[in-house]
Amino acid sequence: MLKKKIFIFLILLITVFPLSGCNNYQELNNVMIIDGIGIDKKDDEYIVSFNTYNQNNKYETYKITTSNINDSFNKIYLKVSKKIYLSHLNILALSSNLDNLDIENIINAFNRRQDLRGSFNVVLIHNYEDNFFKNDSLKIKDILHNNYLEKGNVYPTTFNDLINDYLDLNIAYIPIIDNKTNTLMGMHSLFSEFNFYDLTNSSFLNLLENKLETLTLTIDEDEVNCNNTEVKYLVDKNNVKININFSYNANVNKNKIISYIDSNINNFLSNDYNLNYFYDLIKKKDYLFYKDNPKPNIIFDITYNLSKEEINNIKDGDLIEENDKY
Amino acid sequence: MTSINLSIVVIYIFQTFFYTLFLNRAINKLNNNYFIYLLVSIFLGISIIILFTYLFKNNEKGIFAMLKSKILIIILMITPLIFSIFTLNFASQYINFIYLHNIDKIYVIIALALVLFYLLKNNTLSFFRSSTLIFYFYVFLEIITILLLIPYIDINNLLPITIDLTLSINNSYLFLIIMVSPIMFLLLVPKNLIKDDKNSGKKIFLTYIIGSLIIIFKSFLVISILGYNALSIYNYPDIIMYKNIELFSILERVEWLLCFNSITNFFFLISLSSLYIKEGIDYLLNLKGHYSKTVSFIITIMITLGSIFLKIDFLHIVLSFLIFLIIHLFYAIYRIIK
Repeated sequence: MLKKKIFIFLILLITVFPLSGCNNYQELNNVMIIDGIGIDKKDDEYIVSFNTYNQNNKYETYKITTSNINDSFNKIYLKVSKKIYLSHLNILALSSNLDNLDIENIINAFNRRQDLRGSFNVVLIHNYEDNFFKNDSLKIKDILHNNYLEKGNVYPTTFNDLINDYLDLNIAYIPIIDNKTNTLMGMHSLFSEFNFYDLTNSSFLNLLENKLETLTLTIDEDEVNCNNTEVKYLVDKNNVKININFSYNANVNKNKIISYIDSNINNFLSNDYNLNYFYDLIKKKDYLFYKDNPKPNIIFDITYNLSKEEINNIKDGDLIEENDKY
Repeated sequence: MTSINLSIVVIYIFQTFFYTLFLNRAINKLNNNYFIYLLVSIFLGISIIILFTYLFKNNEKGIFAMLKSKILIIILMITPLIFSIFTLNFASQYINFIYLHNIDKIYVIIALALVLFYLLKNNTLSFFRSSTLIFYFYVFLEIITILLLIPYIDINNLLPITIDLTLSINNSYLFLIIMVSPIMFLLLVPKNLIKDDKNSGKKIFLTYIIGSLIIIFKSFLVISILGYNALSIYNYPDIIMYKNIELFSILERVEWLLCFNSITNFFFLISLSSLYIKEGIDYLLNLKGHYSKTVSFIITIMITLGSIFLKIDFLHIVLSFLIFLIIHLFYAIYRIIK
């Protein structure tokens, strides 16, 4: 009986050390929690900036020059002699100097990291400089999320979204920020071709691809807030019916809003817009047709269903139009 | 021991390599034909279950006493040996990935091997009892997992569903080898050991159907959350799927808890194949249950060293299982003719 107890005790003792990680435990001081990563390319070499905070609660940026993204994680380890921890990464900032192949390399390198979660945001930086992370990267994240929730110009693309769009559609859109003015510029397409959409066009891009919840339009100096935005698609061969639903709260004629959106969307669709999103829709809904016509000439039929929200500070009958159908 | 104890193990066997080994390969080869492929494979898998139930009916003292030929028994024992080495190696990699990033794989293998030794040195009954006891917790965790994942389902990811029967039949070996064939290891249990042995065949068949339905449901879940394209690039899609869970910004990073069931699956599969080897050695050397510790220790050392030093590919598993199944099939035909 005693032998058995000693045996069990020994088993537990041996098991405890490897399983609890006691053989190579890490003090928090020896862990480098990365807050943001910026990647630029100069003379065929990547310049990877790791933003982290030090023990004095101040942000520091470490710069690594490397020909391989994977290698940058090893090099930063040698530079700071701390364990790299990417689980709290907020922002991956890509310079506009990078081409499609570079971005594919970056995705592959990041996908291999075990400690990485795909919920961090990816942004493209215009006029990228090495001191891009002047402070913590949460501010950049806030800019993206506030715009998405209040204005609806850009969609805060996460790393997971980027991979899924890359695999499914061969094109992905990420927000673009100007480093000099620190302002949002719009959305930028990656992988298939480089296209820039300004703030107005990126709103319509996100509206068409059903990524928005709210949208703010400026029609003749009137601000129209569109809420509960929802887009429904009805696909029949190469005919795509798009039904856009939202509620708005402004004293603007309903038809005026519709004609404004309609002219902008048509203008947007006729200008270099990549139709992969709609080809994918046709593939999903009518595979037999898609098999014979992988890139059909799509005929769009856009309808609008708007409902007006009550505005408390205006009396009944004052400038309020009827909810007539378009 | 009842037939329920026996059939519960079928559920574990079915789930073990589903997310990790099977799904990635199946989606890579079949893409949007996956669901029709799954149905075809489940239908073809019934043939293995029929073979199993036929042999189990005539299995009074275990498969080894039934076969008698020592050479055949040695050949049969190679398959579970290769399989348990492969599974232990795979399980250690999985644990490394989800829990112990910076710890050497050898430590994980040793930790698993110690528990394996403890389970092996007891008799076969303790394996089936422990698997039944853990099953309650297993089901509880599975239900929690499904409930947490439901908000992330997007039906559009399942589309389009295409039908290619030839491709499905050609690749059905994946399902038959990875998911169904290890059920044959259960033949190590003598029919006499089971109290309600008349129902065993029916219950195994019923568990096969239940297990298949669970696999169909899990396929629906994982494809609707991640999509076909993403599934084809990830080795451990279950972990990637669990990483998505983020309820009310409070309940997140729960993958470490939800992955526990996968480790249970791995462990029971390693234990079952090791038990098969142990029973084989017992019969070959006519030990009659003596020297249990020594035999268990030797098997554990063999599997541990094998998983540290040998490199076993998926192709080895496929070939060994083919030989394993062919021997059983010819034996069944021989018995029917006789």
